[in-house]
Amino acid sequence: MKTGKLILYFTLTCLLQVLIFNEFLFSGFLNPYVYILFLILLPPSLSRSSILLISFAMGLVIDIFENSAGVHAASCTAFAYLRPVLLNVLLKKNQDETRESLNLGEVGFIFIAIYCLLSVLIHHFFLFAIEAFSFEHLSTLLTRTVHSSLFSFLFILLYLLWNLRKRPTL
Amino acid sequence: MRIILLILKRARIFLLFLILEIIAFSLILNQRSFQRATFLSATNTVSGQINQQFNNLSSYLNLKVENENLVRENVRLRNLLDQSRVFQSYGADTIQDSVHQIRYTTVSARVISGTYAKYNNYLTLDKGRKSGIKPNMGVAGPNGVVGIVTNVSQNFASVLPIINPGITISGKFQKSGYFGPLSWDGNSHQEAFVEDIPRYAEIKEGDTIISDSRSRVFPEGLMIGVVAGKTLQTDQNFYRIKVKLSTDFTRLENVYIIKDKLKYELDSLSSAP
Repeated sequence: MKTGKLILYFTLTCLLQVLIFNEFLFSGFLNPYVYILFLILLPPSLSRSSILLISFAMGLVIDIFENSAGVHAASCTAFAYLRPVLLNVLLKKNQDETRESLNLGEVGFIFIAIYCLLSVLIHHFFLFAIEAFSFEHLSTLLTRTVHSSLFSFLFILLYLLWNLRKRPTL
Repeated sequence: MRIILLILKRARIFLLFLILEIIAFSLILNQRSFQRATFLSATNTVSGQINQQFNNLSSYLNLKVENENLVRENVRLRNLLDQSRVFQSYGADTIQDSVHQIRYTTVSARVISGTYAKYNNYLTLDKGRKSGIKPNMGVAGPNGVVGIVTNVSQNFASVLPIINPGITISGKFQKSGYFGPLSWDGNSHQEAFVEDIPRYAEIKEGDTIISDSRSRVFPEGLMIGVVAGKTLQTDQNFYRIKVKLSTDFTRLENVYIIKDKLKYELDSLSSAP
C-alpha cells in the first residue's frame, strides 16, 4: 500500500470514529470503537516499528477528540505490539509476515473474522482496564469489554461482508 | 559494547513499544494528578472548533426537547419573579438591604462535546476566560446540578460532571435536612450515591436531594435528584442512598455557569490557620 493511500485511510478512519461512531451509544455504555479496523488491516509487510508508531498516532488523535489523555494511545500501542503474535498463532506460518496485505480471498473469511474478533477483544480489554486504572471492579470491566467488543465487532463484520465480493485488502 | 549494540538491535521493537507506552501513561497520569494535560485537552482550539462545528449541526436534531426544557425552566423562573408575588406593605421605611445583595450570577453556555458512557466523563462548554469563567465554578442545567469547571481556555471550558468518580459534592435532603457526600460509582449515568446518612434518619423513596452550600460551589437548593433506594453500609450504622439524578447527561445542551461573588472571601477565611 502506498503512503498516500495510508494517510488518506488514516484521516478517514479518524473522522468516521470521531464524528459518527462516537455518537453511537446504546444502553448507556456501549460505544463502538471501529477505528481499530484500520490497525487490524494494516499490511503485515510494514515494519513492526512503523506499525507501532502508526497505532500510537491513531490512538493519540482519538484521545485528543475524546478528551481521554493517553488511554487510546496506550491500548492501541499494546495491541500493535501483540498483533504479530496474534497473526503468527492464527496463520501458523512465518512467511505470512511478508504478505503485502491481508487479502480476504487468500486467507479466508472465517480467518479474518476470528482475527478481527480477537483483536477487538484485546484492544477493548486494554482500553477499559487503562481507563478504569484498576482491577478493582473486574466483573464490570469484563462485562464492559465483552459487550462493547461485540458491538464494535458487529460494525467490523458489516464492513467485511460488504467487501466480501470485491476481495479487497483494506 | 558490541553485545550491548546487538541487544539493542534485537530488542528495538520492544524498546519502541516501551517508550510509546511510557509517553501514553505519562499523559494519563498527568491528567489524573493535575486537572488536565493542557495540550491534549478538549479546550484545545483545533478539536474544540471541530467539535463545535459538528455540534452546531447535531443540535438541530434536539431542538424540540431543548425548547421544552427551556420553556419549563422559564415558567419556573417566572414564578420566582416579584410580579408573581403579592406585595404587602408593613408600613416600614425603605431599607437599603446590604445583606441580601445578589451573591450568585450566572452565565449561560452550551455543551459542545461531552461523554457520559465512560468511567471518566467530561464535558466541554463554549464559554471560556473571555466570559469570565474560572476553574471551580459550578455548572447547572435546566434540570439541576451538572458539575464543576476544571479547566479554562480563551473560548472553552471543560467541566467535570457529577458522573465522574473524581468529584464529590455535598448533597442534602430537602425534607429532613440530612446531608452527606454525593459521588458516582462509575456505572449508570442516571445514578449516584449519597453516603454516611445516619440509620435513624427517615428517608423515603422519592425524597428530593438538593445541592448544599457546604460544597462551596453551588448555591443551596439546586435539584440533584430523588432517592431511588437505600442500603446499609458495612458498618451497619449508616445508609448508602441511591440517587436517581435529575440531569439527563445524554441530552444536555444548555447549561449555566454559576459565579459566586463571595467565593474568594469564603475561601480565604477557611484557608486561614
